[in-house]
Amino acid sequence: MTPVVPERRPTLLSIASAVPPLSLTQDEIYEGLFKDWFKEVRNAQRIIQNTGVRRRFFAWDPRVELKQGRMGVGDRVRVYERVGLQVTGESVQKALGELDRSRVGAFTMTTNSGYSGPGLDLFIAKKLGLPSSIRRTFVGHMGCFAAFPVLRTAMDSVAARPDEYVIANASEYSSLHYHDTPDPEQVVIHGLFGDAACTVVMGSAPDGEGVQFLRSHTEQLYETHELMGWHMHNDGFRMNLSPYVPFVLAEHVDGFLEKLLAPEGLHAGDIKHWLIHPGGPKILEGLGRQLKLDKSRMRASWHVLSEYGNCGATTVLLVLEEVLRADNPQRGEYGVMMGFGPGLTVESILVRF
Amino acid sequence: MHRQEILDHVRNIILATHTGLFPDDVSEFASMTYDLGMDSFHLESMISRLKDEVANIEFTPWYIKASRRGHDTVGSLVDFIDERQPRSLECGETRGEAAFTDGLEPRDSEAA
Repeated sequence: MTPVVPERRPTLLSIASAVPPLSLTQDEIYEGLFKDWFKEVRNAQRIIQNTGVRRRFFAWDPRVELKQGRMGVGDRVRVYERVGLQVTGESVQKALGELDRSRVGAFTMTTNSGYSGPGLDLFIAKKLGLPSSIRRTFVGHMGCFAAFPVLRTAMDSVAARPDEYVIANASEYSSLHYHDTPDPEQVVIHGLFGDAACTVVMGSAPDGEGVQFLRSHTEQLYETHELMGWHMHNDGFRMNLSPYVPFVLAEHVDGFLEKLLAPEGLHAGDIKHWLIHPGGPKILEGLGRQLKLDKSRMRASWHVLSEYGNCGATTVLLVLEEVLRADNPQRGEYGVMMGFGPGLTVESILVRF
Repeated sequence: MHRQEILDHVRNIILATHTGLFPDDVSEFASMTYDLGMDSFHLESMISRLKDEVANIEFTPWYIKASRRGHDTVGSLVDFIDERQPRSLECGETRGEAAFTDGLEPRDSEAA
């Protein structure tokens, strides 16, 4: 059946990221903190070096703030509130640029790093002079794929109110939840995660004009819920991540993509740009092998992993920003954004440049 | 392919992919991640070889069980393969067994 082509589509108007000022290489954070924390873990340095991360940004300096040991979750969230207001606010401000702020009707954001009420979205909307009637939606704690529910919310909002703009933001300050548990799984996690914020402003445009979000697809692999988690503890939020996750994703990706692409009459061979959440090098390698993509086809994902680390929900937006900045996608080319997280949940959006 | 042959094959693959181990380390009861210290790079090499050499097996049900701490034992993987191996392997009539047998030589883990 030929899909009905809508007259207008959710369209990217701008995208902008922001990062905290502190940047550390893998060697600097290892020598300054992890070498001591993980001294009992066999091959800890090699595990951290093998993450594919070269450097990351940090909302605080864990070498200083966590040197004396653990910290309560409340103290960590206070830092989230302070740093988040600054960095998330900078990202939103840059994305809005010269756009008419009176047309912003909705603001959707996500984070897995901290919670407060009122949230960062309210304070940023106020600071930037956005309408007091703005509709705010906060997507909390879903995991690294959470930019997708944010984008979907924005897509729905734009479809319902095509004259309005929608802010879609993902912000992560994962370093606020570092802890010193000497476990190989935690070494991998601490070697991967970094901090960043990224904001998309979405509007509506006639079909074929601009970078457009065509459709999404989601799958929950219900039986795999134990493979990944993000839980609250008294001394911070803590992740568990099975080393078998990349293999599960690789075994399911072909069928998943068919469900995303077939309704548009497309298949994987039609996709020029692969914007895959770089959860870790094994995820990119496993999916690349399964989809028969060499490393150059996922250049932006590898670049973001190297220069930012895994920034949770923010990461796939950083990949989109990087594709637009450096890969020069041509009008009409297709891209697939994919993300993964607890559930296991697999998310995707089909984009046309 | 009998269970003992599968066990020998899996043990050989583990020893080839994680060269720091001694044969006696790789018991049926050893957890690959917690006892043998296999990281994602070792696991990838092992799974890749199993995928190459044990065709048409989806490992997700084993990954789910294996992800519980300490449950990814050598024996559990052998049992899984034993239960799900294609019938042709048992009959020894296709390239499946040849690949299985050919794969017994250890390989350099860095090349895997």
